[in-house]
Amino acid sequence: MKRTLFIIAAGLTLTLAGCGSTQNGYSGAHPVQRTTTNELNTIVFIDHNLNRTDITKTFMGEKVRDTVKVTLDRSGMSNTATGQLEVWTMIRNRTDYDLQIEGKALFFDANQTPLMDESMWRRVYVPANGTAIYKETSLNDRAEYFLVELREGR
Amino acid sequence: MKYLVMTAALASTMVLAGCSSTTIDNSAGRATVYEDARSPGKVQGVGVESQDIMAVTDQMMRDMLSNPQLVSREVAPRIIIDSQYFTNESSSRINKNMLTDRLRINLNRASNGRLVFVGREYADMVEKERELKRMGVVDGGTIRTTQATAGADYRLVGRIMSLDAMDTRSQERSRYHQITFELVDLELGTYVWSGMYEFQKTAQDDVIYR
Repeated sequence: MKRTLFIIAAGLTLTLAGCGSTQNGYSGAHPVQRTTTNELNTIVFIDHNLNRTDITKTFMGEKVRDTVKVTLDRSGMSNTATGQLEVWTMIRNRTDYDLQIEGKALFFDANQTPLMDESMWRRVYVPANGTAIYKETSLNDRAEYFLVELREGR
Repeated sequence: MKYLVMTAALASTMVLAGCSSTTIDNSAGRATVYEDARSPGKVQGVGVESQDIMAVTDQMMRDMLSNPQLVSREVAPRIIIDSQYFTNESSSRINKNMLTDRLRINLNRASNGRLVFVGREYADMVEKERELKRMGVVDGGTIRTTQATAGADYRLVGRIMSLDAMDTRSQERSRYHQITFELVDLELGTYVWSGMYEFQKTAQDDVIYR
């Protein structure tokens, strides 16, 4: 009886370990960022190879794995002399090779309504272990919120 | 023992049912011939491509709109933006109007009256119509009559330049582009705004640009 119980318990444990992650419905190694909502006034990596967190549930608890090729050291927003919204971020390359990052900004008015002001991809060259600045300005002074998306340059 | 086994099996089934995950379909969509012109496409070379044209004009437009000398004047300045004084000195084949037209159109839309654009390219067309009106062949229209057509305050000038390099062994080609944009004061002859966009590409250049 003891042996049967042991086999059942072991099987259950293995099964639980195998059925792994629950990242909002995803199974396997999918980054947490894939299913999170993008809030306004944030800078997000839409290329999950650049910066992501994978959480996998195991019988020992949650296993967190971070992929960090690029980080954002500082970010900010201000208004230009002409009243446009200016957003900037300092991109830090944490790899030993040069990277190209492309950024795109979307701007929204005070009611968080899209102003249909979407910039083109701006390419930023970030040297190995170095830093570069991505900056974008809105087209007019009605912009109050932004969303910046970053991806690896193609 | 049977009772114990049954309980364990039941518990196992319940736990398994609980941990079943919902799958989200994240597969690629149907095939299409359209491509996002803002990003590099399937056919890529070292020349000026759609993403470059869109990026350079977008950056220049945003830069001009954040210049107080241009957009914060009480009376909106009159500007000529066309390819008349915008030259292509590069080894890339490109229709210059793609740059100047895109810049003017997007600026005109975004400036919302803060900048006024003079269509000097179509001056002949305007003069012909004015002549017909003055001769009485056609009536005066519904808007207004003016003594003369609009004189401009600033005009766009610029250059597309390139520097080529080629590895004769690998046949790899590298091209550095420098595109300059400047606004010249049409009374004083001074530059009131300057912008520059540069990029370098390296590829096995078997792409033909038309």
